[in-house]
Amino acid sequence: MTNKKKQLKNPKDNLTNLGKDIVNEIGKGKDPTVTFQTRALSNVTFDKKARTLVLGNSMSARSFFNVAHAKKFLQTMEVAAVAKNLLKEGKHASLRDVFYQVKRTIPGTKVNIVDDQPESDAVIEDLELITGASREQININANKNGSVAGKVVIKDRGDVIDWSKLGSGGWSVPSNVEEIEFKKVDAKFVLYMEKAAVWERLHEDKFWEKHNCIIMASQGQTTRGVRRLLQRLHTENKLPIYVLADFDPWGFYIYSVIKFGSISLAHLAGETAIPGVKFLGITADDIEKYGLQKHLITFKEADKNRLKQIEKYDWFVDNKPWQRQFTMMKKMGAKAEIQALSARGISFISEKYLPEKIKNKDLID
Amino acid sequence: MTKTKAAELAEKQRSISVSEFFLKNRHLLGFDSSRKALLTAIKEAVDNSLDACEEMRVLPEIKVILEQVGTEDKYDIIVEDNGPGIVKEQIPKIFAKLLYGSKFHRMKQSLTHDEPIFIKRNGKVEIISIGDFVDSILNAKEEIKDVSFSDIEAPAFDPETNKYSMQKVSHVIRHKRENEILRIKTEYNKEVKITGCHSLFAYNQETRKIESIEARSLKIGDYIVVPKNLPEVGNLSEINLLDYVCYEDISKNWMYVYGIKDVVEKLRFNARIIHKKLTTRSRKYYQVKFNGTSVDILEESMRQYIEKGFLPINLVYKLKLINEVAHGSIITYKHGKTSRIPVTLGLDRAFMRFLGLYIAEGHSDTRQLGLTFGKHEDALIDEVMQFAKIFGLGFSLEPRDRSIRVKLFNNIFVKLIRNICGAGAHNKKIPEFIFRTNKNLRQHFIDGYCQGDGHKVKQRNCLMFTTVSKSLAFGLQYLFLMNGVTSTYNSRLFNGLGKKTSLVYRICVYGDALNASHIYSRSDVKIRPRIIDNNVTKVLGVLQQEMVFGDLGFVKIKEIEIINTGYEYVYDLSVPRCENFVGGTGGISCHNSRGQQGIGISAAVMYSQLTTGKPIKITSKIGPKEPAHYYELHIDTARNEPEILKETTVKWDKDHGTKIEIQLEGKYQKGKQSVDEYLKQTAVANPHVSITFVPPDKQKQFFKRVTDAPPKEALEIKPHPYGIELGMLISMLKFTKARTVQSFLSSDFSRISSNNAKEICKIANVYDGSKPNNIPTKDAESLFKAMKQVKIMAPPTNVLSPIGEDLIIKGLKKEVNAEFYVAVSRSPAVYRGNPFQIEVGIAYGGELPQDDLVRVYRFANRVPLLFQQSACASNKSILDTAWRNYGISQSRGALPSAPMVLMVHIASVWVPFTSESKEAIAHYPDIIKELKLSLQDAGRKLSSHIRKTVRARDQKEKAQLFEKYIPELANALFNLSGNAKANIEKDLMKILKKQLPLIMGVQNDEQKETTEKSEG
Repeated sequence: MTNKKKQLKNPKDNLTNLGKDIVNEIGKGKDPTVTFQTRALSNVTFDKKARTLVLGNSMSARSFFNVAHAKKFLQTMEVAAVAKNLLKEGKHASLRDVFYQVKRTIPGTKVNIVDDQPESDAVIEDLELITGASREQININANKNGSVAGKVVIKDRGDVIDWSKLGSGGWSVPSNVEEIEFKKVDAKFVLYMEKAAVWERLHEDKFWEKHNCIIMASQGQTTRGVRRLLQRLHTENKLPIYVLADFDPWGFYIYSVIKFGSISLAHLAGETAIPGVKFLGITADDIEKYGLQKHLITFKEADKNRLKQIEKYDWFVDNKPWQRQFTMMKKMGAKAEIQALSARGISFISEKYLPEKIKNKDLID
Repeated sequence: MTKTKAAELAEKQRSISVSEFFLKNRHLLGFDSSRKALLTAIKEAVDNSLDACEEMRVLPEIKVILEQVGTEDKYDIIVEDNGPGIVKEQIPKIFAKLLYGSKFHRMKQSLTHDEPIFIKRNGKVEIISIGDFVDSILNAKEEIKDVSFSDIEAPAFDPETNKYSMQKVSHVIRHKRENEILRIKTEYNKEVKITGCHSLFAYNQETRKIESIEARSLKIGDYIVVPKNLPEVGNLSEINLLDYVCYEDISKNWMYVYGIKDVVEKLRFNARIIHKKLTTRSRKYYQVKFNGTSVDILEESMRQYIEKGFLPINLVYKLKLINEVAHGSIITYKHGKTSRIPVTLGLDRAFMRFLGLYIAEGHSDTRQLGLTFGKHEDALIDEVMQFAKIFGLGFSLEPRDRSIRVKLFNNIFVKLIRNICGAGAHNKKIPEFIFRTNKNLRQHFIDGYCQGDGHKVKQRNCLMFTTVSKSLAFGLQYLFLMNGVTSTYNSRLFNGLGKKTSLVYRICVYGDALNASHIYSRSDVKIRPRIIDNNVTKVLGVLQQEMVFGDLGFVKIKEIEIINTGYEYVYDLSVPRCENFVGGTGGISCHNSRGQQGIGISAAVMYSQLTTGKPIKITSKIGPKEPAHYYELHIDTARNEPEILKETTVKWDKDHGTKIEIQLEGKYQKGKQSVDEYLKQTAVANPHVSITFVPPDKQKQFFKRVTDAPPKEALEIKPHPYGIELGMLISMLKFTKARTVQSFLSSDFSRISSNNAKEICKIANVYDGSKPNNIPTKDAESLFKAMKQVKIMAPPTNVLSPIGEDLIIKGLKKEVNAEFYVAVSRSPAVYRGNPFQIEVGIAYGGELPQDDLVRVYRFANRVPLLFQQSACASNKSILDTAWRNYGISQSRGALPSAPMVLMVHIASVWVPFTSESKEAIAHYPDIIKELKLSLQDAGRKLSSHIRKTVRARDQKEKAQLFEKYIPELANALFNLSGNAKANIEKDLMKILKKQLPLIMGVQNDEQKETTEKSEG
């Protein structure tokens, strides 16, 4: 069957239809096949107008009676069945839950339907493409991962929550933020950082209170929930968003994902990408300006290779300020973490670095 | 008389020593459990049989019978082979004396008593018959003696470089003759008489290599190796006259040594003053002590000695002052005339020529030397008179009919010449020290001899020497050989000048070789050069590319004569490492026997004796016409000597062979460490062996022979520089015979050329001419480092005895039932100076169990290693190899699991075991590296097979998977769509049936999900 791009109101019906279509094909004696857009860098393009990544038109077909695809096909149907069941019962499951619901040994063989979680995770992402419904819409959630603090009041599942009154931990961002309602937002900008430890530093220094902003972090790669929350703050509340990341190729990519969308989730770029985001630091100029040269970490081979990949991405290739950053980084042959700023004093980041950067609008687009 | 307590204890100590030694070390000897003991006993017996057969180039046929005695854990073991058998006298010692050399079959290759050999003993050269030489060392009962601590050397060529050098002799051997004697005559009338099983070196036309070949398989027309050049023995430039003259020779004459004031003063300084009463008055004496003897010298005499700085010659001899007075000179009185001659005689041209002339033309009686020249030989007469004047000898001319005789007088000089050159024609000989001078001086001697005695035979283009002294003839040939000249030899009866018939020896030197002599370059007789190069060019044409001939030449065999009578005893020498020496008339390279130590079978006998008390029974026969000897033996543990319980001759229909019957306590079990497994693995690594095994259940097993090619014999070689350790280098430097560091490097190591040696010295910044014995440790260290920097050829392959890829596969095929076989034989590598070679074989698939861990067969020099697999370097290498790359599953840190037998063989001159029990190979990085490389190589070859056949099987299995997938898919689709599961399943099965041929035909299962571009 071919993928029906139209978004159905009810994802459950969507799944049921998928099943019925396939059964139909089987009934006709055809090799059951699902077709969907290819999720790979080769099929991702940069939409210059929208300034986000978009998935191209290259399609992948997955059919059962193909030795190489058979297991994948079975997995896809298994996961679809699990998702349908979730929707039917109105329950939410984590990625891990889904993995265990699918994982079992096929009787009479030594073959497991799935061997590890990345396999089922990938199938769930495929399913998003096949059904046109996002993961959250079919009641599958990622682990929550992210903290936020600021003078904001929200309503979530009937509870009213004040982000400024949640002690040292802040509010932890759930994986699905669609149902959240903003009651009051008193902030001039949002500061997002890739390190939870830096967030804790700023929270302890009451940075959000002093500078009237929202601080948000998730450890490492930004989760979908956090990205969606950032997007909603940006679009619904017109808040500028600044990203604070490590001075290394991976830090730059974190910014890239928030701004343009990620390659593996290019089909969701429209919902998660925030083209207005700006990069605050750490920049190559900061290294010089704040004397961090002595606190650099020399590049390893992997760093060099990653940098080479990034500088060739469509969305960076014509961007002069970024190309300048890449060139400088290459020249230094080294990287620096945000925490390198602590070398100048534990609260140097909250008292000197950030206020200066923000005041001077020292940002990269 | 009562013994002291200590003596009693000592006695007791001795009486238990051998058995106690055994019990304490039984784990090392492989007798630590009753199961292992049974295996070890069989193993020792079978290994011995294989070695014996290999040495004699016999294809082994071995029979092993194992019988349980009653119902106890006791077994009778019978091992029978078709080996060469054991000499009667050796049997008791080999089986019933612990720590006696276990290689018992070798003592049979030898030369006859009268064959001359070239030997350096205590610094002096001897050309002596091997019989006289060995008899002078062995007492009447001895058969073999270790002489490695005596200073005995023989010229031997290095099998790698083919260069001759003087090498230590480790053993001298004498035994009763058992085989036929062959007299082998070659071109140039070289000749040697040896036992039929003794080897000579010959050029093998097929392998194009020099190989040791048993004399009895040599044919007329074969080329055998002869030295083209003998090594330099020394570089003597002077001799001490007193070394060659003993006191008895001159005791009747008054002689004094003058010019030694320093020596006399030293004597007096160290002397004690004593008083002796002789008649009535007491007189003062100096009691002089030197070299352990003491002499009392009257005070007045001493005063005189000091004043004039001399000593009477009798005192010099008595006090052994010969070396101390070397700077003095001897004064004799003859008819009131004094003559003076130095103690140290410089070996210059004049002296060497004089010796040559004397040997050619001279004779002597007790007081004078006479040299008789033809009347026309004025120049020579002048030369001798001139020599006499310079030496201060009295002389006179005595004209005869057609000749002139020059007479020389001087008591001590006459004695010297008589002693070193012989007095008359029949006992003339070449002075020993001539062999120790340099080439130039030797040539002066030869020149003198030639001018005196040589006849130039124009038409035959040769120079001929005739003598009636055999010793002179032999000596001359060796002397020529040292100067690189090959001479021919013959003897004939001749009616000489002296009217009576005598045996005359004739030495001829031809053409080019002759021109090597000084005199002929300016000789009036022009001899047309005739190229005689010992056929090297002839043979070289064929194998120039393959070897360096060094000092070796070839001569064709002209005659082989079998002698069956006489020669009661035959003799041999052992030269470690080179395994050859020079013997025979004119010099031929002889391959000598090799000695080896081991505990071997006698340990099994000891174990048997301790557990059952039964004697060992041996039957052995050494030839078809010989009787078979039967022995029953015990070990006398008090003396560690064999105790013969029964000794007789029996009938045995075998031509030759040995049968051992032994009863011991043991356990027979099947499994990985069983007798069955040991024999099976032995058969794998030795495809030339045929083994019959009758286990206790009488289910006969037969391991058949699949090749008629016995393995190549392994040689020993010198260490290779890349593998040596600093400590070893330092001790080698200390003990080397070489005079310079450069020659040390090139002669004591394998594969270092003189250019390499120079380069090493240069890099190490060590003067290449410095004495190796004086090299400081610091320099040794830099030499050590430099050696590793210089590019040096790998050690030679021909010293190792690998099985070879073909035979590994053959061996595996016959004992392991599989579908695919592959073998890898690496080229040799080096660890710590020892070359080694790794071989790997794989048998895969077929009837081997599918999911078990692989079976590993480990071998060291073809002997299976059954114990301590996990401690073995091979095991580590197998674990470290990434078998998954070759399509074989392997859990982390485990052996791969596959239907596979993995065979690993290390062949080495010296296999490094982790312990004395010789069960696991030590973890040397070089060995592990080679092991891994060979495993990887074999793995790659296996993987292409697996890809081809096993993949197809996987494909099939995958297709079968669909049947299993369908119910699952139907279930999921039922959940998804709500349609009836049974229908979906039925429909899917229908499609499967239709699609199946298509699915099976899919070759490439790495097909990507089909990607297509859709419009829009």
